[in-house]
Amino acid sequence: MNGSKRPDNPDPLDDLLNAARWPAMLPDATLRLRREWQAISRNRSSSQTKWLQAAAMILIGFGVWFVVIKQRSAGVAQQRIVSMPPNPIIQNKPDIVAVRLANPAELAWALTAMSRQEIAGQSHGKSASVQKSPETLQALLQRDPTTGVQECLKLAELKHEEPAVSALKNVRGVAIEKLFARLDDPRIETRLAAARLLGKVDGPRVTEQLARMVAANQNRREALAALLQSDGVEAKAFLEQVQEKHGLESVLRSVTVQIKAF
Amino acid sequence: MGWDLDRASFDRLVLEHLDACQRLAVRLTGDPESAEDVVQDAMVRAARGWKTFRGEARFQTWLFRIVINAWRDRKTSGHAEPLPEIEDHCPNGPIDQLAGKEIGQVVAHAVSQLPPRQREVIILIVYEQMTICEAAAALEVSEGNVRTNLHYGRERLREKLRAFLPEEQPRERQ
Repeated sequence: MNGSKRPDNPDPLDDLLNAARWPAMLPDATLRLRREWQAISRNRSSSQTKWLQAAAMILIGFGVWFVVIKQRSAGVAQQRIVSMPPNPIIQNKPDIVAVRLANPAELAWALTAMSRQEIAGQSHGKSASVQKSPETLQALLQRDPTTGVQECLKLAELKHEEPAVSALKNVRGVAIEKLFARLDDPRIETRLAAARLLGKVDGPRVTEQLARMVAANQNRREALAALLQSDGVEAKAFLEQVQEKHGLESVLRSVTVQIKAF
Repeated sequence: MGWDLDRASFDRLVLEHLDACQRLAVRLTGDPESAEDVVQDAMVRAARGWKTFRGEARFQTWLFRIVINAWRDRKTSGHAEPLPEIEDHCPNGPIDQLAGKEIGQVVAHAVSQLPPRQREVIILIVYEQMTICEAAAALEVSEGNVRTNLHYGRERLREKLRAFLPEEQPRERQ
């Protein structure tokens, strides 16, 4: 033993300590932790990209603002020139003045128009991907629950789950059971999306099933994530009880961090 | 390994040391379920603070420090950790106790009942084979503190496990 063993005078306590046998890890714990780490790692890099995107957007915004300001001052300058008495040099070279004054304005217009188009394009693209009415989703969930749930999960991953939630609230039944099954999905994004939907759909039966999962340590983190995102009274009461009686604060804390990261 | 550790290498290192972290967490908590929660908490912290690893200590030491801090926070948040159901004193003596329950579990239980700092030191030095210096780095305490806790921890264990130790013979005094 490092730091304590004297080779010339072995201590029998060392042999006894070396015989210690600790409980084995839960089955699949390593696999779960590895998946968890990969998900955390992936999210971290995507959040870094988000920061870069945000910084780029700020820079672009600042550039557009700068150009607009220039455009305004150019307009003022143009007005001044118009009101000034004719200058012989400018009078002789009107094209040069026009180019020098008009270019910043044209540039500003072009840039703002471009950014307007980009923004419009982006929002159009986004809305196209998430444009699904609750009625459409409800019909899909009733006709083909598997595909319907898949669509709902996609919306939840994009954080546009409102139509999905209202459709699921109307359908419930098989669709909710399928959502519960997705709490065990290999992809952490899907698991958390399912948790998000279940939390928002809420209801005593959903809360009861989630509470049972927490008690049985079956997808506990996902079940807690669902309960944390629920506005239901039962869910809140259960979470308080969990904190008081079972001491799962640190799990709740890390689940909360995970929810924020997604 | 040092300042230029990139994210991919860091991820690889964490995965390589995951088993060691789980082992450490089980020894600290004495309970596999709590251990899994501690490691998950530690992973979130490691992901947040990966840039704080500067290569001054071994990667395992750095990661163990995070696991230990996660475990400490879990304890201070009032979480009662379940310990294996093993009686401290068996009325029929150690032989019967051995027959009923494995001695290994009894020893593990005795370690799990040590005060937190002594438990940390014993686990790092006896079971994780760390040097005094490495244990001091992992626990963020002085080497003298580690030595003191090691001494008192061992004495406490000797007292608790006396029934399993051979008759005390006069030992050389230090």
